[in-house]
Amino acid sequence: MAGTVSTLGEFEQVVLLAILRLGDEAYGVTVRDVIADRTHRRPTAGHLYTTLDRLEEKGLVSSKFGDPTPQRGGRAKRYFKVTAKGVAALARAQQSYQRLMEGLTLPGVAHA
Amino acid sequence: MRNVGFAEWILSLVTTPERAAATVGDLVEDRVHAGALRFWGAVLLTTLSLLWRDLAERPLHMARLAAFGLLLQLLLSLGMAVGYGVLFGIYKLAWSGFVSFDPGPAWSRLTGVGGIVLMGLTGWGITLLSQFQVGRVLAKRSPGRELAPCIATTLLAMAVPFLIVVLTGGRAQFPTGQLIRDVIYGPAPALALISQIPPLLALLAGAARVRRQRLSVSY
Repeated sequence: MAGTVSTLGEFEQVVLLAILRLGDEAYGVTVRDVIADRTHRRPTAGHLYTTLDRLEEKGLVSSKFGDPTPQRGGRAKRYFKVTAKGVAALARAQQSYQRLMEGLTLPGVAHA
Repeated sequence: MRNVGFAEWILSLVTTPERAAATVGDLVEDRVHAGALRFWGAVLLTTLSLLWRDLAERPLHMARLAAFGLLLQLLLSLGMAVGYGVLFGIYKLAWSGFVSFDPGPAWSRLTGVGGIVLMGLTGWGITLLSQFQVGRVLAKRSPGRELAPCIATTLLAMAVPFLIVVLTGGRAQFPTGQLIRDVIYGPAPALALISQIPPLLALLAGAARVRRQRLSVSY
């Protein structure tokens, strides 16, 4: 067993992938938009922010505040970035999925 | 913008002021497309999610604080019941004329229905004040997560009587013949639940005050 390695939930992986996809433009609104666009499900704000906070506490993402903008009522954006530890955790999780899927054909699904 | 400031204040009760501001900024950006109803729904759900996270992250610590909070509430209730009994006794004696003092016009206003209402309001006032103090005590023992132990205490305070009623089958009686269920929930259980809201708000207000004081020192 892996032991102390922190495991990632499905939504945590989704959030990490969204942040990676957005690069330097990853903040609350864009992360939600990308998830909605790619997965066809829009997470609630509460679910997203608690997940982002949890990922930061685990050291899997880091965040920094940008400059305040008038479009947001003078409030700064909180930009997120996946850390090296986050990338490693994501790679491990994805490899686990791939190993589970290896040689498996899902009934009724082509090219699973 | 004043309402948005209120949303930021609500969120800052459960997260850092910078994160609260950034979150509200995101919701403002989203509101342009989504409307005010969705904005406030998102503020409420985000606050509840963050509050729930605080509860769930350290369940044992929160359970201990909840038990401590419940004990405090019970002790305060006991003290209040004794004090209130003494006050009510004096009131009854005075009204019956067993205590001799000058019944001036002020006293006559305190008698009858007005007096009962006044005593009821006094009771409520003392209850809310004591809840406020319990909220402060709990918040001081949970830095950074001030509101969570108040929610945990309220949940425990609701769960304990519910379990008593369930475990006794709802039909158990006191020696006086009263059903335990009726004593706990009264004739209208829904009203009993609604009556828990003001004490809960007072509890949260006490915790919020401690949080604001802590933040004002930190920043």
